Amino acid sequence: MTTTTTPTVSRPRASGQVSRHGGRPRPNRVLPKIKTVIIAASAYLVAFIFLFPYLVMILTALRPQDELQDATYLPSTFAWSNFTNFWTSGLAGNLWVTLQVAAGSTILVLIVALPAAYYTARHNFRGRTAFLIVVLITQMFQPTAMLVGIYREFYQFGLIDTIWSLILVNGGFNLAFAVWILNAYFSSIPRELEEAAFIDGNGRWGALFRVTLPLALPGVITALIFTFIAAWNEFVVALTLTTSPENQPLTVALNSFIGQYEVDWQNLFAGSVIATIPVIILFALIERKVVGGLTAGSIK
Amino acid sequence: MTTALKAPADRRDPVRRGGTARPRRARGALRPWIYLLPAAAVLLPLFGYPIYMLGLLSVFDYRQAQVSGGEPTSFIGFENYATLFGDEKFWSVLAATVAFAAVLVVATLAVGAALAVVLTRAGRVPRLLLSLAAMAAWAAPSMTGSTVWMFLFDSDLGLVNQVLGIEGYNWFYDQWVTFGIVGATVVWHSFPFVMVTLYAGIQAIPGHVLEAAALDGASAWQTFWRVIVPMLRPLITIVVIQSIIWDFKIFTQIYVMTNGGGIAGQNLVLNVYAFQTAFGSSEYGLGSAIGVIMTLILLVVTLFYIRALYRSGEKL
Repeated sequence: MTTTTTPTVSRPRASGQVSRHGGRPRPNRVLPKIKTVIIAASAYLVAFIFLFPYLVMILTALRPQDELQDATYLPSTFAWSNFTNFWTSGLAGNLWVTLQVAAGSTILVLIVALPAAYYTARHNFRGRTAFLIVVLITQMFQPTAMLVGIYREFYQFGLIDTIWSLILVNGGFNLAFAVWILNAYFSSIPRELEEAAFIDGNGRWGALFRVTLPLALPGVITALIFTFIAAWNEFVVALTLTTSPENQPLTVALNSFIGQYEVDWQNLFAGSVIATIPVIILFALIERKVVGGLTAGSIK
Repeated sequence: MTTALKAPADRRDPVRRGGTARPRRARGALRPWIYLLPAAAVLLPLFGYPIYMLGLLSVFDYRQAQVSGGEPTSFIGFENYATLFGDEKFWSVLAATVAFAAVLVVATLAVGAALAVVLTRAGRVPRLLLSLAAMAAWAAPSMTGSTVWMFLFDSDLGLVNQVLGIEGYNWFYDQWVTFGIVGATVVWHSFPFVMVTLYAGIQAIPGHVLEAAALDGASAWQTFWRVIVPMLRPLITIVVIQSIIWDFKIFTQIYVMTNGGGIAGQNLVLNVYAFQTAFGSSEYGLGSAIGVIMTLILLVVTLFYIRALYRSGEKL
């Protein structure tokens, strides 16, 4: 394992190249040209199929309210009103809740994961393995199965229907990924570098902040963005722990557009576009590095 | 504080160190926990306590009447579990959950692996486009992804009915058709992880190995099964187990697309069933019991995961 897949599978590097995203395809003289065409065609087709829902989402969001029943594929005019509705309706407030929850969980994870990841990467101590395994197990768990217990706990502390409960749960359930990926980054930075900086008179904290942390920055950013996205997308915990519409994050608020018999598609999709675009952009920045964190350890 | 960096001895188990400096030894044993304390302070109340509470509530008769204080909370032992195991609904939901997850794992892996191979062979533009599509599906909130697919298959307005020229066919009426559409949505959300991971794995296989296979006249199919799969076996094991865990946890897609479990609950999976029992019918004790069963199943899968990690030579 460690010899075959390891070196390049997004094993975090302290410096220089991290991924091989731009790698050229291997020359393959054996395959006839026709196969290349088929492969390219199937890639285009699959990409189209997978991107298609987004096209539908955006086009529907831009469709005038009275045109939904029409059998045309494109709207006659672009109705931006669905998007402006978003800002004038209460949804802007829900977006604000989502932002606060995502940012809050991210900060919480950063504060908590950094010291743990750093120490477990640099030192060997009794209980280290146990700690890392417990953290790994929490990644496999999910709030959904424990929902009654979580609800009961926040009920006892009077935190139902507050953003604090959402920040805590999202932070807690994303901690494992952050600890593991940061641990991998810190381990990949030679301790000699840090020691050299220390000897050069930077002091222990200076060495940490001027050498180690900057080198681990890609890992830190990956952990942060990943947590942010996960908290942004979260649905079931927010559905359970928030009761008043103005305290709901966007994902839950959008669900209220889906009625038993009727769905307000245009406004739903305008909101969905606004809920989706930021996370896709953020994710594009970290995609390659995420794999290392999710297959925690297997790629070390 | 400075010793940590200066002395390589610090790397050793502090307990085994020579008995000269007693106070240092105590400090050395305690120091890790200064760093780990914040993490423990978050994990303990967010995992330990809810799990304890879940277990506790599952052996109590705990419903709306008890929550509002109308009736006293009473200990009923394993009666909630007995109710569940005696209920046909529970078994059919459990079977559906397992079957649904199994099909999803296979489908996700097939799609992901096929596209990973396509990625390695496609030119620059199609590869970028495919990566973009994968990223968009991966990052999207499962809530918004579910609604688009719902719309595509809507009986009156959906594009699928328009293109197929069938009017008013309700795709969310039949149990299996509904599971199929929800499953497609889940695969759409989860294939990118498999694709990107395996693509990275294939990229890491030395080029000369694949060239040798090609020179020996191996077809793409043979190369995949005889070269790539054996070489990536450890990685594939991890991806499979991750997929099992993810597909077992499905909630949002079912909840949103089938309006909370489908007609007469025909599309329930354990997660949604637990949620509906606890928060829909206010049977908190019973819902907790389902949660406990779910947690135990996930725990077993997780143990397999950790074992696979150890097998793959991972030093934790």
